[in-house]
Amino acid sequence: MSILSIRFLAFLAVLLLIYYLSPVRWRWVVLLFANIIFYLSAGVKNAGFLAVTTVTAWGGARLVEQINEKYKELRKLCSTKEEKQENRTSCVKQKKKVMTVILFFNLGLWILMKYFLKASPLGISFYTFIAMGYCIDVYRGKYPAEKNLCRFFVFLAFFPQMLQGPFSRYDRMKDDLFTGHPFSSDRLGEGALRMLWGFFKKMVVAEKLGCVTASIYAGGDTSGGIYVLVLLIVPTLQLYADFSGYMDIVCGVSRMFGICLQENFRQPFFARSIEEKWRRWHITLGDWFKDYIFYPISMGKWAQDLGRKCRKKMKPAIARMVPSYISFLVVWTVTGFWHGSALHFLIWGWLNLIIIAGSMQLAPFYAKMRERFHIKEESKGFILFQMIRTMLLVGMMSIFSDAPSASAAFSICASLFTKFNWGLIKYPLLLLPGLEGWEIAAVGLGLILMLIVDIIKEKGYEIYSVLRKIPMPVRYLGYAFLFYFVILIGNTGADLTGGFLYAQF
Amino acid sequence: MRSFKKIILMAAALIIAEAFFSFCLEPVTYTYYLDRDLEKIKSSGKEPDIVLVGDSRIYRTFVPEILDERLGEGGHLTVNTGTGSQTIQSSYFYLKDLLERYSAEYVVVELSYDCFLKKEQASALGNWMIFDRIRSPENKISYMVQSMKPSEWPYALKSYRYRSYFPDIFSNIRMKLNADTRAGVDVREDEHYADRGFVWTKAIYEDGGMGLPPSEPVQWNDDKIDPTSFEWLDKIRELCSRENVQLILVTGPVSLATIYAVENYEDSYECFADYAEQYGLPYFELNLLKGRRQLLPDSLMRDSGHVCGTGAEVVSGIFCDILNAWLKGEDTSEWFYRSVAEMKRDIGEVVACDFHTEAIENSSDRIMIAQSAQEEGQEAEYEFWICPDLEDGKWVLLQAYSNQSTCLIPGEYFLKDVSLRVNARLSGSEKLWEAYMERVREAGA
Amino acid sequence: MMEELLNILSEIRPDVDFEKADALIDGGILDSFDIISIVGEINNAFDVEINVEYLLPENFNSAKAIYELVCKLLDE
Repeated sequence: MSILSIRFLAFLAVLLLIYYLSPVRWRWVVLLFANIIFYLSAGVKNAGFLAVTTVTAWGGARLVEQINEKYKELRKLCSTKEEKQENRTSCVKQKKKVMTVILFFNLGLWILMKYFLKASPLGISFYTFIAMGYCIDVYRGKYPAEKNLCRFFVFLAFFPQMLQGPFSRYDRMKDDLFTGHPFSSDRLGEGALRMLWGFFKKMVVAEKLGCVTASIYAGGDTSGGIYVLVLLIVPTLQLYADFSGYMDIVCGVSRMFGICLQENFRQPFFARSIEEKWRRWHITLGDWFKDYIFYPISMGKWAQDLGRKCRKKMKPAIARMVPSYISFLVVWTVTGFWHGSALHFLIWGWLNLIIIAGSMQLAPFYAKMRERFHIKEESKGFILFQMIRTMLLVGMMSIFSDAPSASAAFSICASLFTKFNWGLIKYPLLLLPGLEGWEIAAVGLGLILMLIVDIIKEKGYEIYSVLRKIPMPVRYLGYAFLFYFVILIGNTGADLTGGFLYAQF
Repeated sequence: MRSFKKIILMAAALIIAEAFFSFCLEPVTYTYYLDRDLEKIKSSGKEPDIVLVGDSRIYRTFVPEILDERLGEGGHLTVNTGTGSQTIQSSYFYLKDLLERYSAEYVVVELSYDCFLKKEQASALGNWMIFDRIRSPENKISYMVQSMKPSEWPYALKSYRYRSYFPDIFSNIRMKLNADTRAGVDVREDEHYADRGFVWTKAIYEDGGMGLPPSEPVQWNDDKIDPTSFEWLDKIRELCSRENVQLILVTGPVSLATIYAVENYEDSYECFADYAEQYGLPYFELNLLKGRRQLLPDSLMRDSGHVCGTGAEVVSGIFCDILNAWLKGEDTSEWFYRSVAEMKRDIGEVVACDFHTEAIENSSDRIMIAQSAQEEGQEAEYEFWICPDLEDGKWVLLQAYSNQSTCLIPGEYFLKDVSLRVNARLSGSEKLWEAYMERVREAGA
Repeated sequence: MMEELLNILSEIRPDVDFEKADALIDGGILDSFDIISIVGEINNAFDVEINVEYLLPENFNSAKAIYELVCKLLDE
């Protein structure tokens, strides 16, 4: 069932009732059934894939842990350093065998379903990665494996994170999931408020901005030329409102159960560089790739060997970057691929890489230029410039992820210079096709609200405590109006089949 | 306790927001004016004793003032509570609510196949008009639960119902704050709310010039009819009988061309006539009034489905006369044709005609194609005219009267705006025309 | 073993005096690329596995700290 439906809200209400009426010890069981019901509502057929990944990941982790235990016991019997070394090596070899099978099987299944059969079971891109991250963590000895298969399933298939993440980490979630929390009306209210805010961002702001993007991509009069500039800004805002709105809904739902999901967004428009942007946007994806692809590869044997060879041939300053850059290449190729198998997604990934790597290499040059022009790095003007520059770069790259193909993306970029409709700049409202005047006003209001919230959060304030400073009647009236904006302006049909931009993952 | 206070406060905030948005979004409808009139009546201490329910053919056709004076001994108080696309089920619930408040003497219910259509074809907005007008909360809820699908219940909230009216929000607020509106003065262009639910519409046609119905009328067909409709009619009948109210069934007038276009028109009115006879109720099929063509020419029609203001005056007067006769126990069948066939025979004319133009391949010429409505078996002949220069105003005959229903128009005429006209009459008729259609065609259209 | 470690470190960053420096991370002398190279070399040379979890400043602030980390891993 879609998160954006009356059915889901009814399901949530009933679930909350049962959850808080159940004895604290058994509350995780309620979540177990909730996950099952939620997943089955997407079709019984697909449940098989989730079951397979759950069992293999849980089993694999336990097996790895058992191997660890076994060799630890054996090591106690070792007397010499060589014996200990051999023991360690065999242990690692055994563990690696198990991990290879688990990883190949599950990731292979993911690639098969997503890219070849094009029949993705619900959430496969998320639960597969979460499960593999868990296995690797246990392999590294970060925490003990979960002994109870049902509990593991509660974590892996936790229904709010099924469709679009975030990529959760077992150790950070297990306490919240398995130890029940006492009922708190405050927490319930905060969760509901966060859900409402998410609905507002998704159904009002993102939905309306989507009309503009769709009109421009539809071609004809409202595309090309100056409209490409619009594409540098609007789709990014749309995606932010859409995705972060969904995250708010999902985090709000979890909060109502006392479970804290990791944040995926940290005021991304305050990023001063593309590199920083990825620490503020889809944070859990970035973290996952960093922990499970970037570090393993860059610290892995192959990359290190290459680095060593390079150190013999070139300056150490450059040579030391080689393992990291190789890792970057893999990370960004996989990131592009994760978003879609077509060439334009890969190009999008590589553009990110080029800009990040480029800005790293050019850092000393930039410093020199700043000195030459007497620009203070921490001056407000320069920071603002960096933020705007980052946003425009992100927008430019988004053309490659949004366009239907690589050639389409290039021709759109080219039309910036070849189509001469720049006179439209005199009529700014026309530059937002697909929206009527009042809709532009509503979107504008929504974006201003989002900006205010983000500024508050960026300054380090906790949004709930800031809101509590507003007198209750005014605050509640504000919530009521926000609710009405959602149901009146938002695209409230029966079930929103338009879906989220990330729903295909 | 704190939680309880929060819940109350939140509920209050939601109510305020709902009131604000429904004020901004809900357009001023005839319900607004009718409510004012009912309040005026209530505060004057009187009670309506004649109540009309039904669809648009009620609120555009029956003039309360005329019924007040000419029905029975006169001195009545009539209220016309028709709403657009009102179904018979809606009529029942509304009537039940009305009769809880007023003790009426006469209730007039309009029967036409529009009211008897299956729910999916019924207008949701029309049903919500009734929901708004029903006063008692229990009646409101029982109406909503029995007539609307659960997925439609959110529309009970006016703000949600009218949420697509955001573009008009400022003009709507202005209208509501306007002194005229608040005093009950309705200033629409082609029609206006006149009095106690009756809406006056302007006359726009000349006799013979209305043309054919714009879309094909619904053919009376058992499949399309909601099988429970007659059950609701039964409920209305029983309700009236319980409340000692004289129920009067009527079918409001539509254009002659509409009747001619419905193949099996008899099936519908026979259905109603049989029902009325079975229960000893008066039923007046106003479409079959004798001398219909002269009584209700096109100039008294608003469109193919309704009479206009002056037509309503005529119909209301005739209705009172017929009903008075029935109440005295007279045989009222003499006022009506016995069948549609008899009416058509009596009329013996082409009642309407229309045309459209089509392009010809590889040519700038166009072809004019005429159609007409007349009795089955009769043939019409057509005359085609063009006014090539609108400033000049002179008409040029393209094709003299003949059985040919098509006429070629050379392309050079269409370089300017022109006026086209078709005259139609029965073959062999001596009249200049019996029906016509005239339209301007813009150059390059 | 300490000598081997110092060799590795100097190969990666010949410009740093690893015998004396004791604020390699906190002082911004080594960056994340250096860490990656160092860790890779150490893993290779001593046949240990420095996990992501061990990438903490206190483990890499001086050659001595790195040495202690390696010893700890070898003793496990």
